[in-house]
Amino acid sequence: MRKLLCLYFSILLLFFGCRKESTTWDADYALPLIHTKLDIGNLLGDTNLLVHADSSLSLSIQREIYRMDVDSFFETPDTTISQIHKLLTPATLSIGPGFTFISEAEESTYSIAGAELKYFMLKGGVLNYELISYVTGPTIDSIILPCATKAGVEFSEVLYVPTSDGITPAIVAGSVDLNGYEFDLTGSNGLKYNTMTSKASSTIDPAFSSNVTISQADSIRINVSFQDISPARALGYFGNDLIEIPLDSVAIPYMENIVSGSLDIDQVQLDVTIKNGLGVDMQVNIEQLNSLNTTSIVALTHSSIGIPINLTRPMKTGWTVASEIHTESFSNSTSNLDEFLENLPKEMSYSAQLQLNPFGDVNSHGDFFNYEYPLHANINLEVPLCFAANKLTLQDTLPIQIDQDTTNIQSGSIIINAVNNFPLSAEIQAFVLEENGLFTDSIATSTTIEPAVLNLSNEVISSSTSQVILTVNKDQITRLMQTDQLLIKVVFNTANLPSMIKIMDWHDIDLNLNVILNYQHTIN
Amino acid sequence: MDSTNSVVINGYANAFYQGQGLSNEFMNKLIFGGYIDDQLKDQTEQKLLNFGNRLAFGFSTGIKCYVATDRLLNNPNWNFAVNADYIELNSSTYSKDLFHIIFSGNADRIGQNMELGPSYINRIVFQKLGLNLAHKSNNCEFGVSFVKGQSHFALAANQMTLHTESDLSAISLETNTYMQSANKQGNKIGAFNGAGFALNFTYSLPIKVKNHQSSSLSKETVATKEIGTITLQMDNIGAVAWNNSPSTYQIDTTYSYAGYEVDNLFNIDNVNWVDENTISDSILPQPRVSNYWTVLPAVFNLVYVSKLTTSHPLGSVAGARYQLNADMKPMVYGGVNIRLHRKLSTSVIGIVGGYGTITTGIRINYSSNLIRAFASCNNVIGLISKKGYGKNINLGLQCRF
Repeated sequence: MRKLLCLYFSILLLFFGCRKESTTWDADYALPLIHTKLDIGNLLGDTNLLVHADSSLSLSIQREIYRMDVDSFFETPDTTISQIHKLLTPATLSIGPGFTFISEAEESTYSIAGAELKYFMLKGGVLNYELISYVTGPTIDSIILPCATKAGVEFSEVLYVPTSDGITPAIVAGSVDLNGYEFDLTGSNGLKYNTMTSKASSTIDPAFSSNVTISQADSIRINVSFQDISPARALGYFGNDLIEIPLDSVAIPYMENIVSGSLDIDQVQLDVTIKNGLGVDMQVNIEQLNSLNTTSIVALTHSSIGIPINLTRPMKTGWTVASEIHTESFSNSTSNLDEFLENLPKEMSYSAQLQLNPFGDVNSHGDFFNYEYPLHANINLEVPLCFAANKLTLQDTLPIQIDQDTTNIQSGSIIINAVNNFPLSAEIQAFVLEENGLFTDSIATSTTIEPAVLNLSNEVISSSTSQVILTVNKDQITRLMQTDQLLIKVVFNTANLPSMIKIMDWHDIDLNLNVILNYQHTIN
Repeated sequence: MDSTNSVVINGYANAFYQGQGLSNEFMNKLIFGGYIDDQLKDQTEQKLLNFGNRLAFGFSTGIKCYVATDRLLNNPNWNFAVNADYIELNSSTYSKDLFHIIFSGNADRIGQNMELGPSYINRIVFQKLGLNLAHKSNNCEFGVSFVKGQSHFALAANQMTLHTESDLSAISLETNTYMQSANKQGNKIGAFNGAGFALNFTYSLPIKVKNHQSSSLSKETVATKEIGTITLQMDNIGAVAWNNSPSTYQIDTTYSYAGYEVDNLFNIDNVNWVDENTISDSILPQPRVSNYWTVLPAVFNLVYVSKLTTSHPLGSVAGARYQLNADMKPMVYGGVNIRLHRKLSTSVIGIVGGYGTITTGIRINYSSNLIRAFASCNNVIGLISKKGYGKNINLGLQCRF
């Protein structure tokens, strides 16, 4: 019996217990991965394109390259103004509650960075005060600025100061927001500049129960300082400072992705526009304007470069300013602008000088400033998309995330089906971001998407269809799945070189990215 | 059960896998491990029908204990028996294209339809605990069992067409599929996902013939002689209610996957381009959770076995078998029965139908006063050759006390 049972289970074990290794097989699965349609707006941004009546396009880049920081003209000194108020008589007085024993008016003149201002209004800033009292009774003190008004009401701050023991002072400190205050800086006689009028008074608190003995030793000190002053409007003479705009640069969008190749551009136009709302006479000297890429610099040459340009002061009605606009235009015929751009600049550098009131106070303190009408300089670059590209190489990183277990993927192909309406061919390479942060591993050799079919006038008459197959091995797929960035490198060549082609607003390319994966099934 | 024994214990085990078209070389690698190369896949696929291919594998074992008593029903002819069984059956019907997409993929079927249906998969695992009444003289037996449902999965893809666009721009799946799953408590033997009942019935009819004997010239005596037995056996007639929050899916839709649509390749966020959850969520609808019944894979077996004696050591065996809900074709078989020794006999049969086409079976019986045993195989070639299709082994042991 026992032998039979042993035989019985031995046979069962033989039948079911023979699994020694995993079951595996390979299968090839074809899947669509990405579908996208690209037009030139995707590449350059719709807001940067101008569509002309014939459907041709221009790249229009507008950038502000300089804005004058007017606040720096009116910097108040970073010092605290201190005033001491005391009894005028040397006698010691016994003063009853409610009696005002100090009432004084003063004028303070400030030095404001070479400017002589008659008026200003603030859109920001704080007045800090500190009152130090040795009076041996509670007082009610006032700080009044008759020169400062807001909605017609003069600045007045009432302070309740506690009793001092005569040795240790009573101190009250605070701050007042000056936003919206207008300052008349002509002093009490209306003929001065940068001058503020103020009043201080001190009264024994009427609620105090007894008289207070006060002598000249019982002084009251008021410290006042201004902080973060931001003028909204100003009137006066702003001085004749020479303002240096040091060498600075502005990035040229999309150009940073061009790494090599050449571009032959047709007509280009660059306008540098200075819009001046600052009510002063001014001279501008554009010292240099350079095209910078990683290997070369091309300086823009033009009759206005290095030569002072007089800017007329704008007119104002009330505080509404009609800004003066001055434009310097650069084109192929008046400058080396095509060479400037064909240098494929990643940045444009510039430096300039601004001279305020080069002829002095010829307007009798009639300079004005309204922050709503600043001085700024803009560039407007218009490049018709009519060009010839020879191995123009763009590269950009593409964020990707494919959270898949790739253990079983043995190899694969990325198949790009392209329907191209652009008159350009494109050779595509892709690189995976390595752990060391470098894009070193090309997962695809160069393969070409053919340009659209052109007629004799180099106009697109029909699209072309191309299939690009990028074959990747297991190691590359693993890295492709694990990486979070791809570097895409595309080499463009326009059709029928060296003839120029025009990009139209209806040109696009339809891309289907598909994969065929060799997947190894495993049953453990 | 002889009247001389007070207790008889029967044990059995059956294990098999079989699929018409799926050779042992293929199945051995699929089940026991190994690399299935392209050549083997191609050879296997060539043997498949376009539709209606069958594959099944299963395992069942059980024990039944007969107790002789004179007091049951106040009739000494009745015995009772208790049985405990474990039954697992996985069966499927599938198309050639379903085999192809699983083992070869769709890359070589771009621009074509792949008919993945009609395809059916059934998996049921259950245990039985039953009480049987056996009538000694009439050779019949009837039993009822409580069924504990361990696991159930059924997929009926009446239509399932996969189309891969010629430019690979999209893959579409048109399907009408019904799916049930009752595995909430897991798939282990302790899982209690359903409950039901099963009936079994066995009746054996001895076949007797008249035997004319002449004792003298004037007198002839007529006696009957048993030449064989016809046995009708029905097992697992019953059903299970799957009542532990089972899921039912009804998918009648056309799904198209066209990849990730990127508006602007140069300005995209970090996104997961291939999100399995998104894809599966869009294909698989939310399940409906409600109890359901399934009919057990009942077995119907009718067999004739001739009686072997010393004077007639060669006999015949024939029968038919069918199993419900098991994706199998009716099976008929017939062959010879040979007495090799007083305690040993064997039979060799040919089998048509079932999960295979035509197979050969063999059975060896041992019989003594206290022990009876058998070992049989319904697919001899499959058991020994890589070129065969499937494996099958049955073992039985009866001990008498």
